[in-house]
Amino acid sequence: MIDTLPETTAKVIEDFIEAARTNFGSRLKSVVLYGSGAEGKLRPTSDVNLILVLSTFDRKDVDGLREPLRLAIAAANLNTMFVLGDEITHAAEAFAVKFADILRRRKVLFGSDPFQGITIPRNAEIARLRQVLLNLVLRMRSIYAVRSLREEQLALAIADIAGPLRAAAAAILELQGQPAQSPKEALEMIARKLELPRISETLARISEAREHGLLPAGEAAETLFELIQLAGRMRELVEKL
Amino acid sequence: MNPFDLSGPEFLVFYSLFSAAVVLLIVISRRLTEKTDVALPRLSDPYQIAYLRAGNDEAIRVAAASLLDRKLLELTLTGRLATAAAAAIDQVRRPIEHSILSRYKIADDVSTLTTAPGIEAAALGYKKELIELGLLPDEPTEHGHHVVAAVAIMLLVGTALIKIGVALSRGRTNIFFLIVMAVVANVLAYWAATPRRTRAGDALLSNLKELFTGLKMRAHAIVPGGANNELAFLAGVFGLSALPAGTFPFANRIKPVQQSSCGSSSSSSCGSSSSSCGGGGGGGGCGGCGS
Repeated sequence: MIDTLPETTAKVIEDFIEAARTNFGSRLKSVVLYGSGAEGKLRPTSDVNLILVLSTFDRKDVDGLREPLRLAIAAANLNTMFVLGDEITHAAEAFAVKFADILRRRKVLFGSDPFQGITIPRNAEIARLRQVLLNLVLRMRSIYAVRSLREEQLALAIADIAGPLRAAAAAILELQGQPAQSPKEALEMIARKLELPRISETLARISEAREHGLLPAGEAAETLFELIQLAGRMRELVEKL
Repeated sequence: MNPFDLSGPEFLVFYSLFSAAVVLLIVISRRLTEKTDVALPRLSDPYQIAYLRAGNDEAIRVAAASLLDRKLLELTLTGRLATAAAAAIDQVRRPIEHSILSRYKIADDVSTLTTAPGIEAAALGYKKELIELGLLPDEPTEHGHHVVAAVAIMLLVGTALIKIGVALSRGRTNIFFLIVMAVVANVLAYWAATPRRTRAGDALLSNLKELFTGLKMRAHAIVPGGANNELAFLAGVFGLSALPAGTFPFANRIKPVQQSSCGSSSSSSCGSSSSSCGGGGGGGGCGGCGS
């Protein structure tokens, strides 16, 4: 039993891994759970993130996995990444912030740990942080312009953005040599450091949006603008690394 | 003590206890005769799950909902279904989807959805599979159910008739409550004796509802378009009423129109009962709700 997941979700994931083992056979090298599911902090609406490390991605193997995968997506909000063993180092460099998060929060469910000994080059992580944070700022501006006439849509967008923003905060702190216990705590630490006005309310709203998918009337737009400002200030921190 | 000598109110108490005992006996006999230690199969076809939950028409409606979501089928403002592109007919995988798209190459009223012979036949394939999996009763089992129901009804009707005869012979005509009670008791006994699913079927459906609780909770976040199978699983396990009407407005238009078996309440209250309907042994009573 996967002890960091709720029982029903764990059952779905175990069935999926069993199907993956049946279909890929010896070509399946590892299955790794990462993110909040690996930390034991999965919320009812969270997705479950899995990495399947393969030696080859053969069509006939994947064809047999399609139905179990679609069932697991529906039942457990499963999000899968299929990566080949020899792509891991390159992927870790190319998606440094994401993989830094994976290195921090992971649980090997099958096979050996494919991330053992993997390190993410500091320069690659800084470059990727710049990209991620700038991309978040651009996305949030666009989201506000397009969706803010429907407040509930803004709340859903805030819930989506919280994950990458927290992961970026964790990466910044790690690069500063002050790793936080969790990405959520990392964002809180960074926000406190930056002393933005209303920041504690903003952080509470992020959690509320992730928990309930809705925010009190009139709060979503304000929160999104606070997040745009926060992401901008985080970029300034990255420039100083 | 001869129960037929009891006074009217006393006999009604006796009859209600007797009816409860008959229903209880039926339930116990089902528990004793049906295997429960069978390994439950894994169902990964949402239309098959819909069939298990509520039968032929429901499987067809869920398949139609999925096709509408994927824009392979269209529902016009005037209530006509039409296949969006003939090329899609050969692209869909499941026979039920194929039969729906083939049927609506020529547009027709949405009310014909569950009555078109080709579509019905495709959905019936699920019945055969579910019987083979031991989730729906096979023909001999169904026959056995009907024999039990007939015996129970004879007992209940016979007892009521004898008392009515005794009462009338003694010049008493206040038999209305007994008749009502007899009708209710017979309906209950028939419902208990002729379950739509086997106990394994009930158990599997209950498991599926638990398994997909998370999907129900994040139903509002399901993205339309059919990139994944979430709509089909949500509707298959919980019914079309579980689909958010704002995101999937067609769901309300392909649900069954009549809701009379839910009582005199509005259709919305009927829809809301879907989660309890079919939750285990309630198939007979919930079929009319279209849940």
